[in-house]
Amino acid sequence: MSPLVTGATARIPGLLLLWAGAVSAATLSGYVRGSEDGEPLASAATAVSGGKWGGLTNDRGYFAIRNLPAGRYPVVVTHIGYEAWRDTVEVTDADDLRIVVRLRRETLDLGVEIAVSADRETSQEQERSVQLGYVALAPRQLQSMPALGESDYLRSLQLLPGIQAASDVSSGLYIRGGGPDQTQILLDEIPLYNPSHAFGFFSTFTPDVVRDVQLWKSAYPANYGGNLGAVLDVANRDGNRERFAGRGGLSLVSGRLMLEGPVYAGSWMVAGRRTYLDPVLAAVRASGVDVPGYYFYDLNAKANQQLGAANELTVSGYFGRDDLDFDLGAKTFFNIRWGNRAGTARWTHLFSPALYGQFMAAASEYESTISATLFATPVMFANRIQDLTIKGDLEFFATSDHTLTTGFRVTGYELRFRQFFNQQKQFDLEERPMLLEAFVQEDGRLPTGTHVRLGLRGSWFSEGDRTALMPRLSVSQPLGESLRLKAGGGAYRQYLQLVTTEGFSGGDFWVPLDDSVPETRSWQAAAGLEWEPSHRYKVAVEGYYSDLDGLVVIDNDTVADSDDTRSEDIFKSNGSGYATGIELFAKKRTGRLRGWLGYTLGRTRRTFAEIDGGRSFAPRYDRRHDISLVTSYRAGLWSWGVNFLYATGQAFTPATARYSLRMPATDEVEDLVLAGRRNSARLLPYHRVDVSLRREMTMFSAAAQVYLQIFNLYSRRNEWFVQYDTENPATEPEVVQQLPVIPTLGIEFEF
Amino acid sequence: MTILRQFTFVLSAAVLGGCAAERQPGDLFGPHETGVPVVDGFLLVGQPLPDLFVRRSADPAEEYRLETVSVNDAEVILSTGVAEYHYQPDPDSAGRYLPPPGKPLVAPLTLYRLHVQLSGGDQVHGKTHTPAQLRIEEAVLLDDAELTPKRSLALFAEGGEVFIEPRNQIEYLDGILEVAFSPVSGTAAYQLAVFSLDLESEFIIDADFLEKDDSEDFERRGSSPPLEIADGRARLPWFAIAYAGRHVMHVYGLDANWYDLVRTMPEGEFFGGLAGDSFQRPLFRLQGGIGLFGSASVDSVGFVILPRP
Repeated sequence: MSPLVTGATARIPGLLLLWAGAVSAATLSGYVRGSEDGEPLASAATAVSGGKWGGLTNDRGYFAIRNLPAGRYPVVVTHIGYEAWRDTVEVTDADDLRIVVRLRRETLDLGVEIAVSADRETSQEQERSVQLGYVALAPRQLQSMPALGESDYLRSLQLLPGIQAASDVSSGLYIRGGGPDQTQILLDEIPLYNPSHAFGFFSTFTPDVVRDVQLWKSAYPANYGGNLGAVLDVANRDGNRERFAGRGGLSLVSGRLMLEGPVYAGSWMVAGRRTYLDPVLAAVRASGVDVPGYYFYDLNAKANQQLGAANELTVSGYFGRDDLDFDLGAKTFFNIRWGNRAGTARWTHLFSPALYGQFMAAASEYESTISATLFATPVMFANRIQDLTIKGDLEFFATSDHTLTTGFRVTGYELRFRQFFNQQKQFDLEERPMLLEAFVQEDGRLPTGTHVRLGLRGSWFSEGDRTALMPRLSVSQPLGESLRLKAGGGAYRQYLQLVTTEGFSGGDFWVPLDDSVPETRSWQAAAGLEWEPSHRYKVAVEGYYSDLDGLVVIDNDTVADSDDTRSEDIFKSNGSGYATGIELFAKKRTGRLRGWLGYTLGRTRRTFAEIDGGRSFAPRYDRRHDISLVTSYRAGLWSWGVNFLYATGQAFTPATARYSLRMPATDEVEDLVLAGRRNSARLLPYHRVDVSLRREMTMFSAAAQVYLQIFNLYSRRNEWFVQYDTENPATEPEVVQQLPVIPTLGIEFEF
Repeated sequence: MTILRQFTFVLSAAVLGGCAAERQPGDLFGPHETGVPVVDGFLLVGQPLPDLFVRRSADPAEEYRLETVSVNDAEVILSTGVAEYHYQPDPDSAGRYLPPPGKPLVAPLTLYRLHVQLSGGDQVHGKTHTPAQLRIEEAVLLDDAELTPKRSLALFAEGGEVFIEPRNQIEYLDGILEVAFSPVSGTAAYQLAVFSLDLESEFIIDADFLEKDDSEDFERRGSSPPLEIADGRARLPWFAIAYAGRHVMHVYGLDANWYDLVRTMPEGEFFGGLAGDSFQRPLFRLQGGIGLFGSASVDSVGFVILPRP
């Protein structure tokens, strides 16, 4: 091993030097990467001299250990699923030392790669992820799970305790009693405002492209902000730094291909996915059957270059689009287009071996247009949200046990929603708010072994001139070798609000909350125990409570056209609520048989003065019981997976009486049903089993897998919603059902 | 048996028990609200006092029959600050109450109060402030590309036979009919309605995607949701027209009660509507019962729809 970089400690800002305290000797720093592809390995543990000094890598695989006295030290770098790296380094008084460690994947004695190697839940990582409700899901873990059509991250996350789905056709995340709008979804640290395709059926995240998925179900740390509930942080691959490589797949829904390789002192990656439903639909149309034309696609690209020893530049982009056309003739047609675009340029700079900086300029846009002509009457809804963000983070590795992180974020938004009917403007809402945020966060390990993450985030939002200081705290206390007690909490604000249409995410749009309504805020607390009797098993129990205030909900009763629209016109406002529950999670990480069992006992309530006379009600996604069993088994070239889900039935509003009224504008009598208390009844419980069967093979010298997946194996017709027929009073209510059994086939390959 | 096996057994039993749940009769209905007084009446400015209806709500799980829910022995009184009108039950129509003889006209910008006394002690109270009179000032047929007037239509206020006027003959899907009026004081919002007057006239939608029987789903009367129409210009959408022949388009200026009812009425036909968050109790603005006691001012324009050649 040879040091890649040596040099005197660069100038460090005075405050951080003061904070660091002791006189520096030398710093051992470096990057930890996978040997196959050079992708950075986050949360790898570096131990010097048998653990006397140590540290963990950050999300870019970087670590720094300060104040090493001169001498020769054994160094061990470990990461679950990878062979430990061992060497000896020599540190002198004068020079810092930087190393690049490439870890090789472990293999089982079966000669099969351990898919679980990508599972980031090592004991070391658990210490790092001091937060409760933290989940990391690796691509290979996802691949083994049965899916509907093709692997999907958001749908897989729905199988974890505390996370629910709205329906079989929704990839939206309802986390710990919060709606999808309360979860921030980031792709390479940039928000995606509507990360779904096919009306929510699939997420925009392409399985081959994603490197890491991290989810904070609640009480997320101070380096994130902007939402009341949870954060989903998805990182795409940088690209293979070692060789040209590729992955792809064909399912019944789409085809996808990802290519990557090294370039100079960096790497690149491009990937695309597209449905091929449109030629099929066109053929059906040609046979005389009226069906719409539809397709979606995703494009991902990323490239990075190491610019000298201390600088790295990364650029990335995402483009996704859905397009649905339906021409019915007779001057009647529909066209719906929506999609996200995002781009980032990130500069990573080492001010010194112990001071790591990341600066980013980014833009994200979501746009949807629904245009229709109904018998020559044109209707158009157009909405767009754009943001431009400048962001900077500094990470100071003060000592082996303390890391100080601080950062800022400036975001300018442009939001516009327009509605035209019969060539007349009905809505034209345009806002250009600005959000300024800054945070400071200390990660420290006390002599008692207690791991504390203490943070403070401040924000200023231009709409309503709103400021907030939001403390965040997480504590992890070891209670012996295998048991940990964790607790955490924090305060949160949300300034943008999603206006969503039931059952159709393509028309969703975001608006900023102005000073006509109270600000939306929450505080959260969680506590739990984690028990890891061995490396193989993990058992966790967590309790959580979220208190929400200033909630808003779309006001369906607002007049259809309005100028000078304000938040109070769009929303029923000043709602309150809470979500509480207990989650149990038991996971087997290694071996032929792997998987988890999750259970959530939950209760969520909302209260609005304008709804149901101010009585609290359960949102539709409130679930008292939620059970998920996820298993996979590998035997030679074959593997299978089985998922079982059970959940309390969805809440709905029942009818309590029939009556009739003349509609005043037409003077015609209509038979009607009277709605009872909001969501005071329940549909039947939800349950289903999904199975998958895979076989590894070689195809044109490339590793490949063919798979068969069966969604809803016993074709349980789970209930979706109730329709009361008001026109025929003799008719029984109709319960609309969800998806029946759906088998799918596909193939995936890698070279 | 080990603890693990016991746990597995209990879990399996619980899950299978839950999975086996079946719906009981009536589970799709909430606690019944039968027998709630339902009042139905709306005043139109400048027109005679209207008939009013009194009924009671019925069991949601049973077939709804007007004869069983109608109330025929209520005391119904409509009053202003200076006059009181005692309604009488209509012997020929269950649940209908008739105004006193002479049928006084509904006055604009006036507060009307309703008092209904039912047997058993139930009382319903309501009040409405009538808007000012609404007048359509102009009706034009616009070119649908340029949005420039092609011709003006004759109005009822001009006194002619509007349905005979050549300029009021409109070819189906040709242009956009726009009416203009001055904003009306006391109005919460506006609502449009279109009536096809010739009940035997031809169904004129020629679309391949419609089956033969689909024409039965097209009503001869339809209305818009409440609209703000801040600029006093309202356009008739062509999808509101399904039949040839004489038509009347009404423009209503709504009082707060009428507006609240129609804007909060669940849209039963919408995707998921009656089970989702849009299924809610409308705002009735009545004390002691449900229904509508509201008012509006209205003006109309008449025209004839000609089939496309």
